[in-house]
Amino acid sequence: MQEFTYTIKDKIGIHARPAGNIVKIAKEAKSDVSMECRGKTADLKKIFSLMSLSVKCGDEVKVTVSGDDEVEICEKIKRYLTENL
Amino acid sequence: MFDFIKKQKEMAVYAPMDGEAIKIEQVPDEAFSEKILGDGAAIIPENGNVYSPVDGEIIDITDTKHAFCITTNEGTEVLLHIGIDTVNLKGEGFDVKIVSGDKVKAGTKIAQVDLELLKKNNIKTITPVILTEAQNYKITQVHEGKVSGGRDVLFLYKKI
Repeated sequence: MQEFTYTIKDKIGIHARPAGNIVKIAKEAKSDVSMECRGKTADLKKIFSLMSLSVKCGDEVKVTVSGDDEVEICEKIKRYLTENL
Repeated sequence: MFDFIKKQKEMAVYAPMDGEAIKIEQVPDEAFSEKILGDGAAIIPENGNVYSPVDGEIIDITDTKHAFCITTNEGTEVLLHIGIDTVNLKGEGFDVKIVSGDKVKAGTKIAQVDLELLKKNNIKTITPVILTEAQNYKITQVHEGKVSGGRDVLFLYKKI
């Protein structure tokens, strides 16, 4: 299992566009991928699940990746968050 | 034993607004046109009345009030996204008539939008309606041209 935490710096937070991009990475993964924010957990393979977290600027999120390609996928998501959010 | 060849029934997603229906590929935003968020179609609206495109339950309304997550009675997840980059308005110009957890019918009025305010802020009013778990569905027909919100079918789809 791989995990990391990240604090959202983007003013708007995770809205539809970044949600689509994060889910795209997660859907290609063999691993299970989840994000935790303010005590709620979302399945990152599902847009609805991620959007329901309503992640805002300043929120700390914890991403957990578990499975065959966990190292690669964890790195990809971390890079996406760092570069875009 | 021939259950597996049973034809999946076609389901309808109705136009959420009055206006002109276009293909999702024509939406000037790659998150939609490249189907990153899912597959569906869009409306170029001519007024601010917004109707539910399906029978189902409101799962989530974004804090910025312009995006609605609706699960149909058949379990299909439908995202209604009013305008492109509307997130920047932070809810201004949106009067939402429903709350998360509400059951809606296709054609239930769910919001009123000030399209002029969107235009003044250089926000495109094009409104996509998409199936977010697109890998599970096939869009079988997209209506193009003039549609009446809540009354005309925007597209048909079935499970694959």
